[in-house]
Amino acid sequence: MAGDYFIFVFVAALGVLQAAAAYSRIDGLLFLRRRRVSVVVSGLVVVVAFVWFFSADQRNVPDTGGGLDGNAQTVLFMSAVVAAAVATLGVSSLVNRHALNGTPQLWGLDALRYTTYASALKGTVNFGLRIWRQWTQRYSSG
Amino acid sequence: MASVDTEVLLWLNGLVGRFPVVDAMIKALVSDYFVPVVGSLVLLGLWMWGKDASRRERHQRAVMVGMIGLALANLAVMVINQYYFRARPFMDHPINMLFYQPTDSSFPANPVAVAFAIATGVWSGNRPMGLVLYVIAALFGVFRVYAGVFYPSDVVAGAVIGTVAAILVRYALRFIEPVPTMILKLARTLYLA
Repeated sequence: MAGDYFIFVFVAALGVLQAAAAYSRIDGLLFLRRRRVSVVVSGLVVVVAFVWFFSADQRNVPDTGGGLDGNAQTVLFMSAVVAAAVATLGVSSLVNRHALNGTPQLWGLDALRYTTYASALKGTVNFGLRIWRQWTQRYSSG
Repeated sequence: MASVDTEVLLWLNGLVGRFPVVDAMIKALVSDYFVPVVGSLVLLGLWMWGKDASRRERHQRAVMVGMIGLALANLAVMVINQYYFRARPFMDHPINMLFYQPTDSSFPANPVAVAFAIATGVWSGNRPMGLVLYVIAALFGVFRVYAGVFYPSDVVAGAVIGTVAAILVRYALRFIEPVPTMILKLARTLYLA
């Protein structure tokens, strides 16, 4: 049950993240170029995840009989969501690396409308390192 | 009051078996996984939902209310269960079970409290989506009575606890400003909000 639950939440979370990114026009997080196609495909992915999970096996079982208690559900849900978020950031950065590779001029998710997560993060890290170097040069002795 | 509670339970649960297709659907809906996962996925989507930064920030604050409210509601139910135990309906009445036989306290309905906490959190940032979640949470409660898992009063108590917990969190977050704003700024720096 734990494995099924993890896969179910992971796949459904991938769909939800894609749908939200498409609706909010955060192109840097999309796996597919066209937003409308993304919404339809991600909706289907979520529905398939639910149908699969609830039809594949008997889910009304107590935690003493193979079901998941509240704590296990929470841990598995959080793990699956984090995995789905990491997969979304990684795959979208790879898929869009040529189309969206500008330096971010905005903060937060708005920046990902024009660039990928990897290049945005790289820009921020480089900026931070530049500031750090300037700061250490100014205040270092000698 | 107790007899009304039992009468409503027995009437609703007495409908089990009349419409096998409906029973099969309700079996999936009342499971431990359906509504909590739907509510939590809505929180996940809401975090990114919005075509501009200000709308998204309102949604992100609502997600914080939902998540912390959910935890607070769980805690409140746990504390109540330390002092009060109510046997499940099938222990005292002839019930047509659509669910396994839980052994924990019937009062208050923990999953209903969770569903209402999430709905209230979402409502605080997005009225239409919050309304949809309130309807789902209410149906979840009614179907759990139908399935013979809770008394109606357990569901009502769970709904009140979940709603109040999320409302308290909403006001508490205002008191602890600028902590929520700092969390959002940090997430924004990492392009996650």
